[in-house]
Amino acid sequence: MYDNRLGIKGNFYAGKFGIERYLYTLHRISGLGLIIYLLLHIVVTSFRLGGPDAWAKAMGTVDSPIFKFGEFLVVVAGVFHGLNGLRLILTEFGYFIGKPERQEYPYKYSTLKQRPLMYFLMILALVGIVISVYDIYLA
Amino acid sequence: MSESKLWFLFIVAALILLVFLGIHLGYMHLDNILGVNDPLDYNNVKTRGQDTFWLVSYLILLVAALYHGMYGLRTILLEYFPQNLKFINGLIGIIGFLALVLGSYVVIYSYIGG
Amino acid sequence: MKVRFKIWRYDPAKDVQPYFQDYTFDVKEGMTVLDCLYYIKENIDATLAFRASCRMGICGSCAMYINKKPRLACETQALSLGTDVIEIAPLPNYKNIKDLVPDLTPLFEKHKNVKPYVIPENEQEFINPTGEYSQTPAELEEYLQFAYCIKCGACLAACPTVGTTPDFPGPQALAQAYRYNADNRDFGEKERKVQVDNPKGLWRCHMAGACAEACPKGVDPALAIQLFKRSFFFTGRKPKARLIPLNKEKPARGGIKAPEPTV
Repeated sequence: MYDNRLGIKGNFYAGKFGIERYLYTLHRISGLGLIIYLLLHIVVTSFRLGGPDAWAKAMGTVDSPIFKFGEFLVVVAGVFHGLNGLRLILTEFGYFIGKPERQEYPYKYSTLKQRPLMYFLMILALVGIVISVYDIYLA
Repeated sequence: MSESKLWFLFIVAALILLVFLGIHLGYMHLDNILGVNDPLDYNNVKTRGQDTFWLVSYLILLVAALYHGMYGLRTILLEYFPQNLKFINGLIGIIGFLALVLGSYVVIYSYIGG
Repeated sequence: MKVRFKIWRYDPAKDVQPYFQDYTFDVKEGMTVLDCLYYIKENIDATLAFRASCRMGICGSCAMYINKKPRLACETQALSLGTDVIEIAPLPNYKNIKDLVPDLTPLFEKHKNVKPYVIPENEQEFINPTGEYSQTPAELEEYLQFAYCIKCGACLAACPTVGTTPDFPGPQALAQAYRYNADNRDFGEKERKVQVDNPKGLWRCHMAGACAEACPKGVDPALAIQLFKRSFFFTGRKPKARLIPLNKEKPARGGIKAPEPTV
């Protein structure tokens, strides 16, 4: 028998589904980025114990355009992960996805019912990202 | 502990992060807009580290972020490598514990006057 | 209208990898994708294998991956897809037996594992009933939507977690577990919770919502799973069904006849 399992590839593309299925992947990638950043962050801030000189040296290392862009990516990932996560918490506890009801075609299923919330939070995330671009690069 | 309890703590940690990480990110990254002094200057870092408000919020942030992050990392590893449950649990436990020890040592040492 | 069908072919006896084969013919209005497959089998290529039975969306045999979405072939109008190229593949996330036939064994195994039947409080009462259990229309609505599952397996083909984690029970089984938990005649909630509360169980659902989109019967497994999660923490007191003893009295002569007892 041929194993037709989609695997990790299926997280990125599996067909014509709503945007939520791909937010699942984005949520995962941003989360992965954030946990790696958190571990690095704990290590970098521990240089503080070495006094002002060690701190200045550590801050000097991370004060380059690449690290600045990395910082920007962390803020983007954090804002997206937080707001999308808020939607996940609300829906996983049964809010914004409706109640069981007799189905009539065309079906109004839970993914559609939470979609306005999804759009609202994603617009909010976009605003947050624009503000952080302004602060990191323009101000 | 049953998986439902671990997951519930993961959600509680997420809600804590939503508040505390919001404050932390806003303070550290919106410094230009909010007009706070350079948050990365050593003296400012030192002053913050000796403030009880920041001590408590750093500790809460550390515990919540590590728990939420390490549980999430475990979820991802578990779903992609479902045959290695024990190994993944061990790995996550060790990394999380080391990071917690280092992080809380730095925060508490700074508070006492490092 | 001339339509080109790109159909997944795989014969385990001679093929190592599946490949797509083209069939082009004139599709008439009103033909479902299943009708087209029968047309191909009867007129063009008799070796094509697919599974179908009732051709009216009841049996759940003909779920396929039609134009990159799991659908029932019998409930998909070929011309309403809006393209002149229709790609048909077996459901992903299963093993492929031959051509368009997926191996649904894991689906049924996972379904069996969550005890998908009413577990009575008093087994004797179920074997030798002395009355009827009450259930109001509102109590029926709590689970009725989820009871329409036809086990076609489309939701597991849509689920991103099933794609990576073979042991995850999947939308179908979890939704059915909730369907029985929400039934007020049932007392098996604890057993079913134990069954799914493990590292590869219920908590690997992250509300991607694809199962609800894929379901051809509008069962909405995503909703059932989220309500199932909720029931672990917000345990509202669920009123259990009351046993109503059978009315053995004979109706008065000439009066309206009482309905026949149903047990």
